[in-house]
Amino acid sequence: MKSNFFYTFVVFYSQTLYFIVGILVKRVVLPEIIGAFAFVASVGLLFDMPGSILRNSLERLVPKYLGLQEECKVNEITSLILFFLIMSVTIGSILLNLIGFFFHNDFWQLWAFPTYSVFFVINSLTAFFLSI
Amino acid sequence: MKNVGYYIGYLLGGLVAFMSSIYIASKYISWNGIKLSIAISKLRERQLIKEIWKIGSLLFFYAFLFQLLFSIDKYFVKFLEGNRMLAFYTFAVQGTMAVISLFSAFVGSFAPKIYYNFAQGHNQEYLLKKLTFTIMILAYMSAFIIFIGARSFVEAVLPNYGNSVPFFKIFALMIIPFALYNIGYVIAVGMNRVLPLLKGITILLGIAVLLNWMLYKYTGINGIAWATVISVILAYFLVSFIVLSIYQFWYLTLFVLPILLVNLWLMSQDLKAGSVFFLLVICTMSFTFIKNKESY
Repeated sequence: MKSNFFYTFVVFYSQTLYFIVGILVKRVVLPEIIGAFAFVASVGLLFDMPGSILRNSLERLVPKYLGLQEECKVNEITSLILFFLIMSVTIGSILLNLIGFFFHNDFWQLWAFPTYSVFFVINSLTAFFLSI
Repeated sequence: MKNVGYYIGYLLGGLVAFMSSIYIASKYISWNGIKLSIAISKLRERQLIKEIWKIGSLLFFYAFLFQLLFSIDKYFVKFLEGNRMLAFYTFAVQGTMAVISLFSAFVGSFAPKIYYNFAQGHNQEYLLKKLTFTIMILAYMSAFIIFIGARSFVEAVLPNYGNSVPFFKIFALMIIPFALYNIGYVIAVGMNRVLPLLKGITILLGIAVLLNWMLYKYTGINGIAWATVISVILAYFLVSFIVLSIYQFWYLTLFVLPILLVNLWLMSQDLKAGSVFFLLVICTMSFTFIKNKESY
């Protein structure tokens, strides 16, 4: 139970930190940049769909096969999901860059797309490692 | 220059989180059996790939519909009352959801253990009972605190958002069913009953639209908040019905929700009586929890 409360505290802490940093950033950075990022992030969410499906499976299937004492399948599932995840984030990142290059509205969006595409890869893989 | 710094900071923040996650993962997991080289020609034969996509897609689609269930109200507020009222309404939703997300995280931290126990065929009654009572007591306290503290909180943080206080008070009632819903959801996933959940949530979506429309027609903007609370309660009963064979504690909510309602009403009439009633309820729940703990 202690570790569960600790995990809940970490979630609470990270959410509060994110909220406070968000307010501080909004005070110094131009709203146009924040807006450009918010838009690009909403586009990026669509490309995160396959990653989300894979992470859902990982969270459900790994404990299942650990419970069934099938260690080989646990390794196989993790390998498969990691393989597909790397493929999907690579394709997603390339597409985000292409969208940014061809369909940007302004200077900020032109830079927001490639920056977000790198963040998208990092974020997807972080979520994978945390799911494990 | 500081604008360029925002881009760099954005990436650096992500990079720090990434490195930390790799460090945590390398500490607790053995990477010996995990390979990245996969024979593409054999991919089609693998049964596991089908399982990964099936489970993942069902869970993803369910999460999407569930999100939609709790976005309908915002569309109604936006189109019927405008952007200004939507800002007040969303502030109350976000505040309440911040509390609920803590319960989701708490229940979610038990999910691997519950899935593991299902695979092993263990009896989970004790774990689920302990979890239910803990959540019930904490959720009751949170609902009470939100109800009595909403006005002071809003006045302290955003004084011009006073119109969101009534919504906070209504949403306080959805904390208990929403927090307990998470337990039912984890059990349903553990029992591989995602498909009935999907069917149920699709029907609930239709009911939620009707509820929002009808309650707005008769009671105005507060009706939309009430429709959301009712939708949460219905979602809770849906998931409880699906996992009834394993989890029989749904009836506790039937007792506790009316008690909370009476407590909040009493609180708005007489502060002292409401506080005494609250302490009595918390003491009774804690006593029942401890008594149950000893019986196992």
